[in-house]
Amino acid sequence: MAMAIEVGVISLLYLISSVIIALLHTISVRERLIDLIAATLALIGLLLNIKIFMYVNSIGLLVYRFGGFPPPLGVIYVVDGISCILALLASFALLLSLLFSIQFIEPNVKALYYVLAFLLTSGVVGSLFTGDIFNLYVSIELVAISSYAVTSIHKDNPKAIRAAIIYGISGTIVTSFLLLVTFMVYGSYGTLNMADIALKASNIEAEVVFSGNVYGDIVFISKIVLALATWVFLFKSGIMPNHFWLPEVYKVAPLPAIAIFTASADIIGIYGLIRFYYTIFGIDTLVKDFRNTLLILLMIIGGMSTIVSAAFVSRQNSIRKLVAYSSISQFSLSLLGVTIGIGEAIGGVILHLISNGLGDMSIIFSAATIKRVARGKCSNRSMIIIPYIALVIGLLNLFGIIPLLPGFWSKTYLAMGFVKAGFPQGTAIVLISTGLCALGYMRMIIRYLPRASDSSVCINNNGVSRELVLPLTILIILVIVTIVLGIFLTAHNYVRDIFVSYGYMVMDSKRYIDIVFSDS
Amino acid sequence: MIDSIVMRFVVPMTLMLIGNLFMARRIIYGSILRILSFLSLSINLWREDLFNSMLVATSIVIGVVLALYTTSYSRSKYGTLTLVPIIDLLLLSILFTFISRNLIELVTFWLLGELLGFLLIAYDYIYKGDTISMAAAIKYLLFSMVPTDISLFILLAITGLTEAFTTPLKSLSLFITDPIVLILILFGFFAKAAIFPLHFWLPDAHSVAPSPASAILSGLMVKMGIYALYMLSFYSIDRALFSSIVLFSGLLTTLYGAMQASLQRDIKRLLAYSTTSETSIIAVLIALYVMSGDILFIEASTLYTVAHAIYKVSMFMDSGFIELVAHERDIRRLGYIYRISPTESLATLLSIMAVLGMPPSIGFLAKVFMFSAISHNITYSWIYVVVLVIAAVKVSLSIVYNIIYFKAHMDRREPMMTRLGLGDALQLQKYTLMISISSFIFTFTIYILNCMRYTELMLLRKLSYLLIISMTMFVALIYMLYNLIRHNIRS
Repeated sequence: MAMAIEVGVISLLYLISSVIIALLHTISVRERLIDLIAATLALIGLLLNIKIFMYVNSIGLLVYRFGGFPPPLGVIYVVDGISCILALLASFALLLSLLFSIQFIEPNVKALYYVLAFLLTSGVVGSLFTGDIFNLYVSIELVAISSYAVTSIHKDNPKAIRAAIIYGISGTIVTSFLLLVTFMVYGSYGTLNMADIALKASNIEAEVVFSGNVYGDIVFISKIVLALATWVFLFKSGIMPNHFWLPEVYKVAPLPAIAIFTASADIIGIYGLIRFYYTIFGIDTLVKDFRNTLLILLMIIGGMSTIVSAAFVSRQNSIRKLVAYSSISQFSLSLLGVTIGIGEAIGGVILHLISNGLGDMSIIFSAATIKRVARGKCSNRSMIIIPYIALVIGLLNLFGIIPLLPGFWSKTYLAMGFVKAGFPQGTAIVLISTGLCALGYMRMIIRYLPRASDSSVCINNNGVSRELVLPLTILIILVIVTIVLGIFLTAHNYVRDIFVSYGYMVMDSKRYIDIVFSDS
Repeated sequence: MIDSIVMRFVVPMTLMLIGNLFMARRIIYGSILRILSFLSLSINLWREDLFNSMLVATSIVIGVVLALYTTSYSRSKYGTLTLVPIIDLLLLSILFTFISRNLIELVTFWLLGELLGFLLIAYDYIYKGDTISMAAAIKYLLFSMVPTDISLFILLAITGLTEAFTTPLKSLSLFITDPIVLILILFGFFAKAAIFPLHFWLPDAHSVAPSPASAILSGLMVKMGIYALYMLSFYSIDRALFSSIVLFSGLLTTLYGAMQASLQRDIKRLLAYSTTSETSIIAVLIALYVMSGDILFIEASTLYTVAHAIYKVSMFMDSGFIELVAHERDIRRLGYIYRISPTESLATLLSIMAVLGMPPSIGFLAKVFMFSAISHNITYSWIYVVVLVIAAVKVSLSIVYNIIYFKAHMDRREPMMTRLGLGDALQLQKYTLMISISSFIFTFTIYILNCMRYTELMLLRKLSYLLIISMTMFVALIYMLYNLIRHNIRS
């Protein structure tokens, strides 16, 4: 499988990129050259991810063995539908964030930001692709540490240090629960490979080549494992009541970093929950009743979290806090979708994460551009309409009631999941939170409305300055991607069916186990 | 060809957008293009469903007149023409909702219309920073938009996406067996049509919006809720539960709205409360149709919808005129409009007479059909007696609040000359007159539209000599009334 080498290389590529940037910065290369190299490396990463995406779509599920060692002896990467599309979103977010940070981060911290961003994305891609629990822990820890550092990148701001301390200490405690999970799993199941655990969880007698049988009271251990892992992933995605770090971090992190947080770092939590509840401890395993109870509990937590955070959204006046609470609300909605257990709902969850990422990126970048244009040269003010349109489209995407934008389709699939599961009241919860969030979004749309005074006659009108070209291009790219995705979802059946098929594929843990353990 | 997306949606949308672009330079060309865009939707009039065709016809007429009205109104009140494209877009999205053939089109344009409605209710906040408008818009968003979204998404989820794209609306095979689902869907459409318990957002929202927006919101948008209730009657639902819920809430709101309307002294709040009352009686008629299966109720609700839509639009246009000319909305401080513009007073008087049931207006047909339908079935159940009593009380209360409204026009008081802002505003009176007259001419649509299934309307076609005689008498009446009003000015 020569084509599969990209899977192994991609995480390594991001790691090496961060080292390269760090070295280049140490030997004091020119700032513009570092920008160019960073953007190029991010672009290479995006192209690799596109290639992986198209390849995985054609074959369904891809297994990559590190060093050729068969599982469970060696570490493997297992890429299925949701992994590759979320990795695509993460690399796209990285590229846009790096391009945006060329002008919107202070030059003295910019190289440090590049290093941390590449490390973070390497961790994200690693955790999305991995098929091994310890590798998952390592990748999540890499993401977490980079996030703590990025939060406090503005060292002079005491609030930034405070946010980093809050995030850092609570994050370290919580991710060490994940380490405890790996210890317990290794001690009882004898393996760290996700497919192996799934096989033994569904068939307690199974004996696998390198890891042998299970040992001890495995039902009790599995319950503890599932509960701890749930708590970790709830923290990582900022679901209430584990959300306390998110607004603090979003208030002080640099704007391009917030884009990466919403689009790649914080989706690990939801992804982890999907893996643990559908692939590893799937529908018919030894912890079936406990799992169902936890899913009901998660549904309640998710429902309350989404409505309470939506109420917070409706009162926000600043873009950063709006994005923070809106992300909490949308991730809680995704959690609701995960707990239903219907394939369409999980497809809707993936689409929801993607549209949330695109929407938040549009909002952050356009708000920053509008602020800069409004304070800058007079002759640039006529250009304020482009970032404003990007802001409106981003906010309407998050609002999710215009069928030409992807946000609508994710909510539709969530509603379909609820109705199919026989719980139509869930649709009411989805739409109540949507309505409350909409108050905040509409307030932003009205607040950033370009006033007539913006396009008044300027004294020396020498055209639009060159420094606006890059931000406006990024915004136009984001708008085009959003609208094209939305139009394809509306007009073409097969695009919607791709997401639904991802949902059903994730729920099919037997296929996962079979393909991982097959000889090829 | 007529059924294609290009002819139904793209052509009117393009004409409207180009027309609005022209408005910045040559208003006359812009207005012509916009009127053409509304008229181009008339290819959708010839369908089997009478309710649908009548709604489309009414919306086209209202659209044409409001398009012209909004131009002068926007310039007088705000000094710019920024209100015009939003009003046009809202009218088009409502029209597109009515001409949708499948569920996904309906949902798309419905949601777009709601969003535009929110922007229009908050328009004074956007333009002048008036926080009352924002509060009313927030109430609208939370208590009308969110419940309707819940209903639409549930309907979309039950239908499934393949059917939502292909199947025509009336042949969807929806089986709403769970009573909770039916109650959720019904409450969503109650929120849209402002029926108890989600009726309280309407007086605030419709009284703070600019007058053309209030006209569309009261005249057409609440009818979308009625249209949805009508559509629900085609699917397999629990008919007893449906009719009992709608009857209970509808009858309660009818009385409540009519009584509240008689107590208001602000012209726009009076009209808003009367909207809740009238819409509820239409919903009651649809519930009675679901209960009894008698098609006379559908004819009655169709005609009443049209009559009320035209009446409400003309009354809100008139309230806009009063607001611009006298800068006053309280009836106790008005009473002199007939001195400023006898045409406007005549137009208002004609609208009131039309909705109260003067032949040959469509309000007359509506009242006749409504009372005959209820009385026709009166021996079958005690419910019809209750409905008849409440309808009668409502009609008498509507006479009361219409007279109270008309006191803003004629109460023998001297105008406060210091605060009059004439000029552009006086152009508005001809549009109000246009739409008042149209409610009398609208009766003749029963000749144009397809009424094959409705035997009573076919019977009416045969009695056309009666309509023509009453038309002649009506023309004489207009002439006499106009002279009476002018005579009062001189004295």
